[in-house]
Amino acid sequence: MNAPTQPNWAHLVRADHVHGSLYTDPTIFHAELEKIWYRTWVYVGHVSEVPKANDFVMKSIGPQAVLMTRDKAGAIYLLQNRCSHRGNQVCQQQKGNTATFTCPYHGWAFANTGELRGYPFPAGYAGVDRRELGLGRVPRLSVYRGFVFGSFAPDGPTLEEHLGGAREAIDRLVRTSPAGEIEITAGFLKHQTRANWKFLVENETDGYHPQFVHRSIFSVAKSGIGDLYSDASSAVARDLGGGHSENDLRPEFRRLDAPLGWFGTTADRLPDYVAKMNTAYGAEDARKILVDGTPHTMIFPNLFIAEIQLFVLQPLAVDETVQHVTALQFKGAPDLNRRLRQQTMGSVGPAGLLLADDAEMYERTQRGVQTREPPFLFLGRGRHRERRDPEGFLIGDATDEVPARGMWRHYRALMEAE
Amino acid sequence: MASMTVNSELLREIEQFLYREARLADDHDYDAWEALWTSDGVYWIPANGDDGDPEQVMSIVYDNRSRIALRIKQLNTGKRHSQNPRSRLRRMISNVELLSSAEDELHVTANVCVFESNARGDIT
Ligand code: FES
Ligand SMILES: [Fe+2]
Repeated sequence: MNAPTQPNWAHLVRADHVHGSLYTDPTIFHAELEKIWYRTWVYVGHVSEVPKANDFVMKSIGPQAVLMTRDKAGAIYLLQNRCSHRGNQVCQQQKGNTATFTCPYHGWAFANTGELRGYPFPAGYAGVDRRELGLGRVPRLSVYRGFVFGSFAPDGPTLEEHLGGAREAIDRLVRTSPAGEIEITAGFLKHQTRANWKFLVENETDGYHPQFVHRSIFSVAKSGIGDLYSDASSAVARDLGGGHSENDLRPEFRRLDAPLGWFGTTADRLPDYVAKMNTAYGAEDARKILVDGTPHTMIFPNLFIAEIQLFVLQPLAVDETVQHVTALQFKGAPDLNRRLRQQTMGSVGPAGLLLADDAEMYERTQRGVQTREPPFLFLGRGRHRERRDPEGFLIGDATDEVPARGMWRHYRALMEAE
Repeated sequence: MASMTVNSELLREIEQFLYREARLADDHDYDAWEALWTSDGVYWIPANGDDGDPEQVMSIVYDNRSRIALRIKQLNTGKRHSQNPRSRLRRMISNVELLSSAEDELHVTANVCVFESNARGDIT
Protein backbone atom coordinates (compact mmCIF):
# COMPACT_ATOMS: atom_id res chain seq x y z
CA MET A 1 0.00 0.00 0.00
CA ASN A 2 1.25 3.45 -0.85
CA ALA A 3 1.68 5.80 2.09
CA PRO A 4 -0.90 8.53 1.44
CA THR A 5 1.44 11.22 2.83
CA GLN A 6 4.18 10.58 0.23
CA PRO A 7 4.58 13.89 -1.64
CA ASN A 8 3.88 13.88 -5.35
CA TRP A 9 7.39 14.75 -6.54
CA ALA A 10 6.40 15.08 -10.20
CA HIS A 11 3.89 17.72 -9.18
CA LEU A 12 6.34 19.62 -6.96
CA VAL A 13 9.45 19.44 -9.17
CA ARG A 14 8.77 20.34 -12.79
CA ALA A 15 11.01 21.04 -15.75
CA ASP A 16 11.36 24.72 -14.89
CA HIS A 17 9.17 25.27 -11.84
CA VAL A 18 9.60 24.08 -8.27
CA HIS A 19 7.02 24.30 -5.52
CA GLY A 20 7.63 26.63 -2.57
CA SER A 21 6.83 23.90 -0.04
CA LEU A 22 10.07 22.13 -1.04
CA TYR A 23 11.85 24.78 1.00
CA THR A 24 9.43 25.07 3.90
CA ASP A 25 7.72 21.76 4.64
CA PRO A 26 9.33 19.90 7.58
CA THR A 27 8.04 16.52 6.32
CA ILE A 28 9.88 17.10 3.05
CA PHE A 29 13.02 17.97 4.99
CA HIS A 30 12.80 14.67 6.89
CA ALA A 31 12.30 12.79 3.64
CA GLU A 32 15.43 14.51 2.27
CA LEU A 33 17.47 13.41 5.25
CA GLU A 34 16.57 9.78 4.56
CA LYS A 35 16.82 9.86 0.78
CA ILE A 36 19.68 12.29 0.25
CA TRP A 37 21.75 13.07 3.32
CA TYR A 38 21.75 9.56 4.80
CA ARG A 39 22.04 7.79 1.47
CA THR A 40 24.18 9.57 -1.09
CA TRP A 41 27.89 10.42 -0.75
CA VAL A 42 28.35 13.50 1.42
CA TYR A 43 31.61 15.42 1.80
CA VAL A 44 32.87 15.13 5.37
CA GLY A 45 36.41 16.54 5.56
CA HIS A 46 39.89 16.53 4.15
CA VAL A 47 42.76 14.22 5.07
CA SER A 48 44.93 17.24 5.93
CA GLU A 49 42.60 17.99 8.85
CA VAL A 50 43.92 14.84 10.56
CA PRO A 51 47.55 14.93 9.41
CA LYS A 52 49.13 12.83 12.16
CA ALA A 53 48.50 9.41 13.64
CA ASN A 54 45.66 9.53 16.21
CA ASP A 55 44.41 12.97 15.11
CA PHE A 56 40.66 13.51 15.11
CA VAL A 57 38.26 16.26 14.10
CA MET A 58 34.51 16.68 14.62
CA LYS A 59 32.61 16.84 11.36
CA SER A 60 29.06 16.15 10.21
CA ILE A 61 26.75 14.51 7.72
CA GLY A 62 23.61 16.61 7.70
CA PRO A 63 22.54 17.20 11.32
CA GLN A 64 24.56 14.17 12.48
CA ALA A 65 27.91 14.68 14.17
CA VAL A 66 30.65 12.52 12.66
CA LEU A 67 34.06 12.04 14.17
CA MET A 68 36.79 11.77 11.54
CA THR A 69 39.77 9.95 13.01
CA ARG A 70 43.11 8.64 11.84
CA ASP A 71 44.40 5.55 13.58
CA LYS A 72 48.03 4.88 14.40
CA ALA A 73 48.54 3.04 11.12
CA GLY A 74 47.27 6.06 9.16
CA ALA A 75 43.81 4.78 8.15
CA ILE A 76 40.81 7.15 8.30
CA TYR A 77 37.52 6.33 10.02
CA LEU A 78 34.15 8.05 10.27
CA LEU A 79 32.63 7.30 13.66
CA GLN A 80 29.46 8.39 15.36
CA ASN A 81 29.73 10.32 18.57
CA ARG A 82 27.48 8.00 20.53
CA CYS A 83 28.51 5.56 23.20
CA SER A 84 27.25 2.06 22.47
CA HIS A 85 26.38 1.66 26.14
CA ARG A 86 23.66 4.19 26.82
CA GLY A 87 24.22 6.76 24.15
CA ASN A 88 26.32 9.46 25.78
CA GLN A 89 28.66 11.48 23.57
CA VAL A 90 32.15 10.08 23.82
CA CYS A 91 33.91 13.21 22.54
CA GLN A 92 33.40 16.87 23.44
CA GLN A 93 36.44 18.32 21.68
CA GLN A 94 36.25 19.81 18.19
CA LYS A 95 39.66 18.38 17.37
CA GLY A 96 42.64 16.81 19.03
CA ASN A 97 44.88 13.78 19.18
CA THR A 98 44.06 10.58 21.03
CA ALA A 99 44.21 6.84 20.53
CA THR A 100 41.21 6.29 22.83
CA PHE A 101 37.87 7.93 23.46
CA THR A 102 36.68 7.26 26.98
CA CYS A 103 33.00 7.82 27.63
CA PRO A 104 32.67 10.06 30.66
CA TYR A 105 29.40 8.46 31.81
CA HIS A 106 30.52 4.93 32.84
CA GLY A 107 34.04 4.84 31.52
CA TRP A 108 33.77 2.62 28.44
CA ALA A 109 36.88 3.07 26.34
CA PHE A 110 36.88 3.00 22.54
CA ALA A 111 39.83 2.90 20.13
CA ASN A 112 39.92 5.60 17.45
CA THR A 113 38.97 2.82 15.01
CA GLY A 114 35.67 2.47 16.88
CA GLU A 115 36.39 -0.85 18.62
CA LEU A 116 35.40 -1.18 22.24
CA ARG A 117 38.61 -1.63 24.19
CA GLY A 118 37.11 -2.22 27.59
CA TYR A 119 34.75 -1.23 30.37
CA PRO A 120 35.10 -0.79 34.10
CA PHE A 121 34.13 -3.71 36.42
CA PRO A 122 34.03 -6.23 33.53
CA ALA A 123 32.72 -9.05 35.71
CA GLY A 124 29.28 -7.46 35.25
CA TYR A 125 29.40 -8.30 31.55
CA ALA A 126 29.94 -12.05 31.68
CA GLY A 127 28.95 -13.57 28.35
CA VAL A 128 28.83 -10.23 26.49
CA ASP A 129 30.69 -10.03 23.16
CA ARG A 130 32.69 -6.80 23.18
CA ARG A 131 33.21 -6.97 19.43
CA GLU A 132 29.55 -6.18 18.89
CA LEU A 133 29.70 -3.04 20.99
CA GLY A 134 31.93 -0.71 18.98
CA LEU A 135 31.08 2.90 18.12
CA GLY A 136 28.75 3.35 15.19
CA ARG A 137 30.55 3.77 11.89
CA VAL A 138 29.45 5.55 8.76
CA PRO A 139 29.08 2.41 6.64
CA ARG A 140 31.01 3.66 3.63
CA LEU A 141 33.99 5.97 3.40
CA SER A 142 35.90 6.92 0.30
CA VAL A 143 38.68 9.41 -0.38
CA TYR A 144 39.26 11.23 -3.64
CA ARG A 145 42.51 13.23 -3.86
CA GLY A 146 42.37 13.89 -0.14
CA PHE A 147 38.65 14.74 -0.02
CA VAL A 148 36.90 12.38 2.41
CA PHE A 149 33.30 11.45 1.70
CA GLY A 150 30.94 9.27 3.71
CA SER A 151 27.70 7.48 2.91
CA PHE A 152 25.22 6.02 5.36
CA ALA A 153 24.03 3.63 2.65
CA PRO A 154 25.85 0.28 2.98
CA ASP A 155 25.85 -0.03 -0.79
CA GLY A 156 25.21 2.09 -3.83
CA PRO A 157 27.24 3.91 -6.46
CA THR A 158 30.96 4.30 -5.79
CA LEU A 159 32.32 7.74 -4.93
CA GLU A 160 33.87 8.02 -8.39
CA GLU A 161 30.49 7.21 -9.94
CA HIS A 162 28.81 9.74 -7.68
CA LEU A 163 31.30 12.48 -8.51
CA GLY A 164 30.98 11.77 -12.24
CA GLY A 165 31.44 15.02 -14.15
CA ALA A 166 32.48 16.88 -10.97
CA ARG A 167 35.62 14.79 -10.52
CA GLU A 168 37.44 16.96 -12.99
CA ALA A 169 36.82 19.99 -10.75
CA ILE A 170 38.77 18.37 -7.94
CA ASP A 171 41.51 17.36 -10.39
CA ARG A 172 41.75 20.93 -11.64
CA LEU A 173 41.76 22.31 -8.14
CA VAL A 174 44.68 20.23 -6.90
CA ARG A 175 46.65 20.99 -10.05
CA THR A 176 46.75 24.64 -8.99
CA SER A 177 49.07 23.51 -6.22
CA PRO A 178 52.71 22.96 -7.09
CA ALA A 179 52.62 19.80 -4.96
CA GLY A 180 49.33 18.62 -6.50
CA GLU A 181 47.56 18.77 -3.16
CA ILE A 182 45.34 21.16 -1.30
CA GLU A 183 45.30 21.48 2.46
CA ILE A 184 42.55 22.50 4.84
CA THR A 185 44.48 24.12 7.66
CA ALA A 186 43.01 27.61 8.09
CA GLY A 187 40.11 26.70 10.40
CA PHE A 188 36.42 27.21 9.65
CA LEU A 189 33.91 29.98 10.09
CA LYS A 190 30.46 28.65 10.87
CA HIS A 191 27.96 30.89 9.17
CA GLN A 192 24.44 30.09 10.25
CA THR A 193 21.52 31.14 8.06
CA ARG A 194 17.80 30.80 8.57
CA ALA A 195 17.16 29.30 5.18
CA ASN A 196 16.61 25.96 3.51
CA TRP A 197 19.81 24.26 2.33
CA LYS A 198 18.65 24.09 -1.30
CA PHE A 199 18.59 27.89 -1.59
CA LEU A 200 22.30 27.78 -0.79
CA VAL A 201 23.02 24.98 -3.27
CA GLU A 202 21.16 26.86 -6.00
CA ASN A 203 22.87 30.14 -5.22
CA GLU A 204 26.40 28.73 -5.35
CA THR A 205 26.27 28.35 -9.12
CA ASP A 206 23.68 31.00 -9.86
CA GLY A 207 25.40 33.25 -12.35
CA TYR A 208 22.40 35.59 -12.52
CA HIS A 209 22.62 37.18 -9.04
CA PRO A 210 26.20 38.52 -8.63
CA GLN A 211 25.67 41.79 -10.46
CA PHE A 212 22.69 42.62 -8.27
CA VAL A 213 23.47 41.10 -4.89
CA HIS A 214 27.15 42.08 -4.96
CA ARG A 215 26.97 45.36 -6.84
CA SER A 216 27.95 47.27 -3.70
CA ILE A 217 31.35 45.60 -3.42
CA PHE A 218 32.04 45.23 -7.14
CA SER A 219 31.51 48.97 -7.61
CA VAL A 220 33.90 50.09 -4.87
CA ALA A 221 36.54 47.34 -5.13
CA LYS A 222 36.89 47.82 -8.91
CA SER A 223 36.56 44.07 -9.20
CA GLY A 224 36.18 42.40 -12.55
CA ILE A 225 34.10 39.56 -11.08
CA GLY A 226 30.81 41.25 -11.98
CA ASP A 227 31.68 41.20 -15.68
CA LEU A 228 32.12 37.41 -15.57
CA TYR A 229 28.42 37.14 -14.78
CA SER A 230 26.89 39.44 -17.34
CA ASP A 231 24.85 39.01 -20.47
CA ALA A 232 28.00 39.63 -22.49
CA SER A 233 30.17 37.10 -20.66
CA SER A 234 31.49 34.09 -22.53
CA ALA A 235 31.50 32.05 -19.28
CA VAL A 236 29.34 28.96 -19.25
CA ALA A 237 26.82 27.57 -16.76
CA ARG A 238 27.09 23.79 -16.76
CA ASP A 239 25.01 20.92 -15.41
CA LEU A 240 27.57 18.24 -14.57
CA GLY A 241 24.91 15.60 -13.84
CA GLY A 242 24.32 13.98 -10.47
CA GLY A 243 23.11 17.31 -9.06
CA HIS A 244 26.57 18.83 -9.55
CA SER A 245 27.06 22.05 -11.48
CA GLU A 246 29.53 24.77 -12.25
CA ASN A 247 30.08 28.25 -13.52
CA ASP A 248 32.91 27.64 -15.95
CA LEU A 249 34.74 30.95 -16.10
CA ARG A 250 37.62 29.67 -18.21
CA PRO A 251 36.35 31.10 -21.51
CA GLU A 252 36.58 34.59 -20.00
CA PHE A 253 39.96 33.99 -18.35
CA ARG A 254 41.37 32.56 -21.59
CA ARG A 255 40.09 35.57 -23.48
CA LEU A 256 41.85 37.87 -21.00
CA ASP A 257 44.91 35.53 -21.06
CA ALA A 258 46.42 36.85 -17.81
CA PRO A 259 48.09 34.37 -15.43
CA LEU A 260 46.50 34.73 -11.95
CA GLY A 261 43.91 37.16 -13.30
CA TRP A 262 41.22 34.90 -11.78
CA PHE A 263 42.75 35.69 -8.39
CA GLY A 264 42.85 39.43 -8.97
CA THR A 265 46.62 39.52 -9.08
CA THR A 266 49.59 39.08 -11.41
CA ALA A 267 52.45 36.60 -11.69
CA ASP A 268 55.09 39.11 -10.59
CA ARG A 269 53.35 39.56 -7.22
CA LEU A 270 53.62 35.86 -6.34
CA PRO A 271 57.06 35.00 -7.77
CA ASP A 272 57.79 32.02 -5.47
CA TYR A 273 54.49 30.35 -6.27
CA VAL A 274 54.85 30.90 -10.01
CA ALA A 275 58.42 29.55 -9.96
CA LYS A 276 57.27 26.40 -8.15
CA MET A 277 54.43 25.92 -10.62
CA ASN A 278 56.87 26.24 -13.52
CA THR A 279 59.10 23.59 -11.95
CA ALA A 280 56.20 21.27 -11.20
CA TYR A 281 54.35 21.40 -14.52
CA GLY A 282 56.73 23.03 -17.00
CA ALA A 283 56.38 26.68 -17.99
CA GLU A 284 53.83 26.08 -20.73
CA ASP A 285 51.40 23.96 -18.71
CA ALA A 286 51.91 26.09 -15.62
CA ARG A 287 50.90 29.15 -17.57
CA LYS A 288 47.73 27.43 -18.77
CA ILE A 289 46.83 26.43 -15.22
CA LEU A 290 47.45 29.96 -13.96
CA VAL A 291 45.31 31.48 -16.71
CA ASP A 292 42.42 29.04 -16.21
CA GLY A 293 42.23 29.41 -12.43
CA THR A 294 40.44 27.17 -9.97
CA PRO A 295 36.89 25.84 -10.37
CA HIS A 296 33.59 27.32 -9.26
CA THR A 297 31.81 24.03 -8.75
CA MET A 298 28.97 22.80 -6.53
CA ILE A 299 29.31 19.11 -5.69
CA PHE A 300 25.88 17.91 -4.61
CA PRO A 301 24.72 18.00 -1.92
CA ASN A 302 27.18 19.88 0.26
CA LEU A 303 30.62 20.72 -1.14
CA PHE A 304 31.14 24.02 -2.89
CA ILE A 305 34.56 24.77 -4.34
CA ALA A 306 34.47 28.54 -4.77
CA GLU A 307 37.77 29.33 -6.54
CA ILE A 308 39.66 30.30 -3.40
CA GLN A 309 37.35 28.93 -0.68
CA LEU A 310 35.73 25.74 0.33
CA PHE A 311 32.16 25.78 1.64
CA VAL A 312 30.57 22.80 3.35
CA LEU A 313 26.80 23.01 3.69
CA GLN A 314 25.13 21.50 6.71
CA PRO A 315 21.34 21.42 6.97
CA LEU A 316 20.05 21.49 10.54
CA ALA A 317 16.34 22.01 9.93
CA VAL A 318 14.03 22.86 7.04
CA ASP A 319 14.83 26.54 7.57
CA GLU A 320 18.26 26.40 9.12
CA THR A 321 21.59 25.76 7.40
CA VAL A 322 25.21 26.27 8.40
CA GLN A 323 27.87 27.11 5.84
CA HIS A 324 31.25 26.01 7.13
CA VAL A 325 33.80 27.98 5.19
CA THR A 326 37.57 28.08 4.99
CA ALA A 327 40.32 29.36 2.72
CA LEU A 328 41.80 26.80 0.37
CA GLN A 329 45.49 26.31 0.99
CA PHE A 330 47.80 24.95 -1.67
CA LYS A 331 50.56 22.70 -0.47
CA GLY A 332 53.96 24.25 -1.05
CA ALA A 333 52.68 27.78 -1.75
CA PRO A 334 52.95 29.92 1.41
CA ASP A 335 52.92 33.26 -0.43
CA LEU A 336 49.74 32.32 -2.28
CA ASN A 337 48.19 30.88 0.87
CA ARG A 338 48.51 34.06 2.88
CA ARG A 339 46.68 35.97 0.17
CA LEU A 340 44.04 33.22 -0.04
CA ARG A 341 43.35 33.58 3.67
CA GLN A 342 43.17 37.37 3.54
CA GLN A 343 40.80 37.40 0.58
CA THR A 344 38.65 34.67 2.03
CA MET A 345 38.30 36.45 5.36
CA GLY A 346 37.24 39.59 3.56
CA SER A 347 34.65 37.79 1.45
CA VAL A 348 32.88 35.22 3.59
CA GLY A 349 31.03 34.78 6.85
CA PRO A 350 28.43 36.98 8.51
CA ALA A 351 30.58 40.10 8.00
CA GLY A 352 31.84 39.10 4.55
CA LEU A 353 31.91 41.73 1.84
CA LEU A 354 30.18 39.13 -0.38
CA LEU A 355 28.55 36.46 1.77
CA ALA A 356 26.72 38.75 4.18
CA ASP A 357 24.60 39.80 1.23
CA ASP A 358 24.13 36.27 -0.11
CA ALA A 359 22.95 35.24 3.35
CA GLU A 360 20.54 38.16 3.39
CA MET A 361 19.08 36.87 0.11
CA TYR A 362 18.78 33.29 1.43
CA GLU A 363 16.86 34.47 4.47
CA ARG A 364 14.62 36.90 2.61
CA THR A 365 13.84 34.20 0.06
CA GLN A 366 13.01 31.80 2.87
CA ARG A 367 10.57 34.35 4.29
CA GLY A 368 9.23 35.04 0.80
CA VAL A 369 8.33 31.45 0.00
CA GLN A 370 6.38 31.12 3.26
CA THR A 371 3.62 33.10 1.53
CA ARG A 372 1.09 31.18 -0.53
CA GLU A 373 0.96 32.83 -3.94
CA PRO A 374 2.31 32.16 -6.47
CA PRO A 375 2.92 28.59 -5.31
CA PHE A 376 5.86 27.89 -7.66
CA LEU A 377 9.30 29.43 -8.24
CA PHE A 378 10.30 29.88 -11.88
CA LEU A 379 13.65 28.44 -12.94
CA GLY A 380 13.23 28.77 -16.69
CA ARG A 381 16.00 31.25 -17.47
CA GLY A 382 17.87 30.25 -20.62
CA ARG A 383 15.89 27.08 -21.20
CA HIS A 384 15.43 27.93 -24.88
CA ARG A 385 19.21 28.19 -25.35
CA GLU A 386 20.32 25.11 -23.42
CA ARG A 387 22.74 23.05 -25.44
CA ARG A 388 25.24 20.18 -25.12
CA ASP A 389 28.96 20.79 -24.95
CA PRO A 390 31.38 18.42 -26.74
CA GLU A 391 31.46 16.17 -23.68
CA GLY A 392 27.70 15.91 -23.60
CA PHE A 393 27.02 18.12 -20.59
CA LEU A 394 24.08 20.51 -20.67
CA ILE A 395 25.32 24.09 -20.76
CA GLY A 396 23.89 27.58 -20.95
CA ASP A 397 25.00 31.19 -20.93
CA ALA A 398 26.75 32.57 -17.85
CA THR A 399 23.55 33.84 -16.23
CA ASP A 400 21.28 30.91 -17.14
CA GLU A 401 19.58 28.63 -14.63
CA VAL A 402 20.96 25.42 -16.14
CA PRO A 403 22.70 24.47 -12.84
CA ALA A 404 19.54 24.83 -10.75
CA ARG A 405 17.47 22.78 -13.19
CA GLY A 406 20.14 20.08 -13.18
CA MET A 407 20.14 20.00 -9.38
CA TRP A 408 16.37 19.62 -9.26
CA ARG A 409 16.32 16.84 -11.88
CA HIS A 410 18.72 14.85 -9.75
CA TYR A 411 16.84 15.77 -6.57
CA ARG A 412 13.61 14.43 -7.99
CA ALA A 413 15.26 11.17 -9.03
CA LEU A 414 16.65 10.70 -5.53
CA MET A 415 13.36 11.52 -3.84
CA GLU A 416 11.35 9.26 -6.14
CA ALA A 417 13.72 6.33 -5.58
CA GLU A 418 12.47 3.59 -3.26
CA MET B 1 43.48 43.21 48.92
CA ALA B 2 46.25 44.54 46.76
CA SER B 3 46.18 48.25 46.27
CA MET B 4 44.61 49.32 43.03
CA THR B 5 45.70 52.70 41.93
CA VAL B 6 43.77 53.69 38.90
CA ASN B 7 44.55 56.74 36.89
CA SER B 8 40.91 57.72 36.93
CA GLU B 9 41.36 60.63 34.61
CA LEU B 10 42.96 58.42 31.98
CA LEU B 11 40.37 55.70 32.50
CA ARG B 12 37.61 58.27 32.08
CA GLU B 13 39.16 59.37 28.81
CA ILE B 14 39.36 55.78 27.60
CA GLU B 15 35.74 55.09 28.51
CA GLN B 16 34.61 58.24 26.73
CA PHE B 17 36.47 57.09 23.63
CA LEU B 18 34.88 53.64 23.72
CA TYR B 19 31.41 55.14 24.24
CA ARG B 20 31.92 57.53 21.36
CA GLU B 21 33.06 54.71 19.08
CA ALA B 22 29.97 52.70 20.07
CA ARG B 23 27.62 55.63 19.57
CA LEU B 24 28.96 56.44 16.11
CA ALA B 25 28.59 52.79 15.09
CA ASP B 26 25.11 52.52 16.66
CA ASP B 27 24.03 55.63 14.77
CA HIS B 28 25.56 54.46 11.47
CA ASP B 29 27.72 57.58 11.43
CA TYR B 30 30.45 55.68 9.65
CA ASP B 31 32.44 58.59 8.30
CA ALA B 32 32.96 59.91 11.81
CA TRP B 33 33.53 56.35 13.01
CA GLU B 34 36.16 55.73 10.37
CA ALA B 35 37.94 58.94 11.30
CA LEU B 36 38.73 57.40 14.69
CA TRP B 37 41.09 54.92 13.04
CA THR B 38 44.82 55.50 12.70
CA SER B 39 46.60 54.31 9.58
CA ASP B 40 48.03 51.23 11.36
CA GLY B 41 44.72 50.24 12.98
CA VAL B 42 43.56 46.63 12.77
CA TYR B 43 39.95 45.61 13.31
CA TRP B 44 39.87 42.01 14.47
CA ILE B 45 36.87 39.87 15.44
CA PRO B 46 38.11 36.35 16.21
CA ALA B 47 35.98 33.31 15.40
CA ASN B 48 35.13 30.13 17.28
CA GLY B 49 35.47 31.61 20.75
CA ASP B 50 39.25 31.40 20.82
CA ASP B 51 41.87 33.88 19.78
CA GLY B 52 43.49 31.81 17.04
CA ASP B 53 46.32 33.62 15.26
CA PRO B 54 44.52 35.70 12.62
CA GLU B 55 47.56 35.35 10.38
CA GLN B 56 46.96 31.60 10.30
CA VAL B 57 43.26 30.86 10.84
CA MET B 58 39.92 32.32 9.85
CA SER B 59 38.50 35.30 11.73
CA ILE B 60 35.07 36.89 11.32
CA VAL B 61 36.76 40.22 10.63
CA TYR B 62 40.48 40.89 10.26
CA ASP B 63 40.67 44.26 8.52
CA ASN B 64 43.67 46.45 7.98
CA ARG B 65 43.08 50.16 7.51
CA SER B 66 42.44 49.92 3.79
CA ARG B 67 39.89 47.14 4.21
CA ILE B 68 38.12 49.17 6.91
CA ALA B 69 37.87 51.95 4.35
CA LEU B 70 36.57 49.52 1.71
CA ARG B 71 33.92 48.25 4.13
CA ILE B 72 32.67 51.80 4.73
CA LYS B 73 32.70 52.60 1.02
CA GLN B 74 30.62 49.49 0.42
CA LEU B 75 28.07 50.56 3.04
CA ASN B 76 27.96 54.04 1.57
CA THR B 77 26.85 52.73 -1.83
CA GLY B 78 23.44 52.15 -0.24
CA LYS B 79 23.37 48.74 -1.98
CA ARG B 80 24.75 46.70 0.91
CA HIS B 81 21.64 44.53 1.24
CA SER B 82 22.52 43.16 4.67
CA GLN B 83 22.31 46.77 5.93
CA ASN B 84 19.46 47.96 3.78
CA PRO B 85 17.27 48.63 5.69
CA ARG B 86 19.69 49.36 8.48
CA SER B 87 19.68 47.48 11.73
CA ARG B 88 18.70 49.32 14.87
CA LEU B 89 21.70 48.92 17.13
CA ARG B 90 22.71 49.54 20.71
CA ARG B 91 26.08 48.59 22.15
CA MET B 92 26.48 48.29 25.92
CA ILE B 93 30.05 48.62 27.16
CA SER B 94 31.16 47.58 30.62
CA ASN B 95 34.09 46.22 32.64
CA VAL B 96 36.47 48.74 31.11
CA GLU B 97 39.85 47.94 32.56
CA LEU B 98 43.25 49.42 31.91
CA LEU B 99 45.68 46.53 32.06
CA SER B 100 48.85 48.39 31.27
CA SER B 101 50.08 51.65 29.89
CA ALA B 102 53.32 52.76 28.34
CA GLU B 103 54.41 55.93 26.57
CA ASP B 104 52.22 55.57 23.52
CA GLU B 105 50.40 52.34 24.16
CA LEU B 106 47.45 51.38 26.33
CA HIS B 107 46.19 47.86 26.86
CA VAL B 108 42.49 48.07 27.65
CA THR B 109 39.85 45.36 27.96
CA ALA B 110 36.09 45.75 28.08
CA ASN B 111 32.96 43.68 27.63
CA VAL B 112 30.52 44.59 24.90
CA CYS B 113 26.97 43.49 24.40
CA VAL B 114 25.40 44.41 21.06
CA PHE B 115 21.65 44.45 20.57
CA GLU B 116 20.50 44.32 16.96
CA SER B 117 16.95 44.63 15.71
CA ASN B 118 16.30 43.97 12.04
CA ALA B 119 13.79 42.33 9.72
CA ARG B 120 15.84 39.17 10.31
CA GLY B 121 14.81 39.30 13.95
CA ASP B 122 16.30 40.53 17.20
CA ILE B 123 19.77 39.37 18.11
CA THR B 124 21.76 40.02 21.24
S1 FES C 1 26.89 5.77 28.28
FE1 FES C 1 28.95 5.58 27.77
S2 FES C 1 29.75 4.36 29.30
FE2 FES C 1 27.67 4.45 29.81
FE1 LIG D 1 26.73 35.50 -4.21
